[in-house]
Amino acid sequence: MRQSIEKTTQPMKKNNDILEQIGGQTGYKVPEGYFDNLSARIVEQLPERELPQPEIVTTWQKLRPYLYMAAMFAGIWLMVQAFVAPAVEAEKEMTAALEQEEDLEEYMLYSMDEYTIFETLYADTE
Amino acid sequence: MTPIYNEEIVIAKLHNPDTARQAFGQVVEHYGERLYWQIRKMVASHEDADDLLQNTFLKAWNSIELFRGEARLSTWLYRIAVNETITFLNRERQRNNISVDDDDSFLLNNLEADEWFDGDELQLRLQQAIAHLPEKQRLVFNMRYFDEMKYEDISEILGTSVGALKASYHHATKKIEEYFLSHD
Repeated sequence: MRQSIEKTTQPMKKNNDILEQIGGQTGYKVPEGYFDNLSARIVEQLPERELPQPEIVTTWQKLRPYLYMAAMFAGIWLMVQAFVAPAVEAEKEMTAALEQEEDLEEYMLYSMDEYTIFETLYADTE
Repeated sequence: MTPIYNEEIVIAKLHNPDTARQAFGQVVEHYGERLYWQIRKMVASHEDADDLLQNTFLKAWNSIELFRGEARLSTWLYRIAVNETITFLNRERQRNNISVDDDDSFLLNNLEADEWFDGDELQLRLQQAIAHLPEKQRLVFNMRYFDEMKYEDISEILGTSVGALKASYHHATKKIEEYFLSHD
């Protein structure tokens, strides 16, 4: 009896005449009705088994990884707000202040010592 | 009436203790015959094939929770059947004091007289020629020539590359041809 297991779409090329002549016949046979009760006979002989109950996944278990990820991102955002954002803000304020000429002069005067101020004024008068 | 076989549904039922046994019956119904022939072509005897088929399904049943669907169910069952067959053949060789290098023609000693063989002269000689092939080539030849399985499917079952399987099949047909020529 020839079996029909996942047949290829194209006919198989036989390599020699003998194989072609035989045409895939084995010559084997089985007792009459052997396959009719095969399933029932095999299943009957299977031992009883205590299979593990399928794992029930709760909504919390499904959501947990996403919540952990959200919490992680929230933590990162808070750290940015606490440490990075104020520094950036201060730098912005400083830049804006330095852009105004009056403030710049005031700042320079404030940060210069007396000797440098006099030297600068002297240089300007020359 | 036999329910329509849907592999996805059957696999889901196999993992549920309440439906596993009934689903396994469907698996046996669906794959039993083709696995039987796969084994039978390797061992020749109907009684041995029947025993090995039962062992194959028993092993599958006892380890059904290990089947997680990474491979197809058919591939998994074929692998078990092939392992069972190889173990049986090794045991038989040992029992008959036959070395692994010798062929398995001892399996066909009384094939002409076997009540479950009604092949003609050519079919008998083909079985004898096949028995002279190395075990792996025999497996490949049977799957390809008799069952017309795709090389890709055979590759998944035997864990051998498609290229190596093609070479193996080619060598097998050459050896069979030579056997026929030398035994004319």
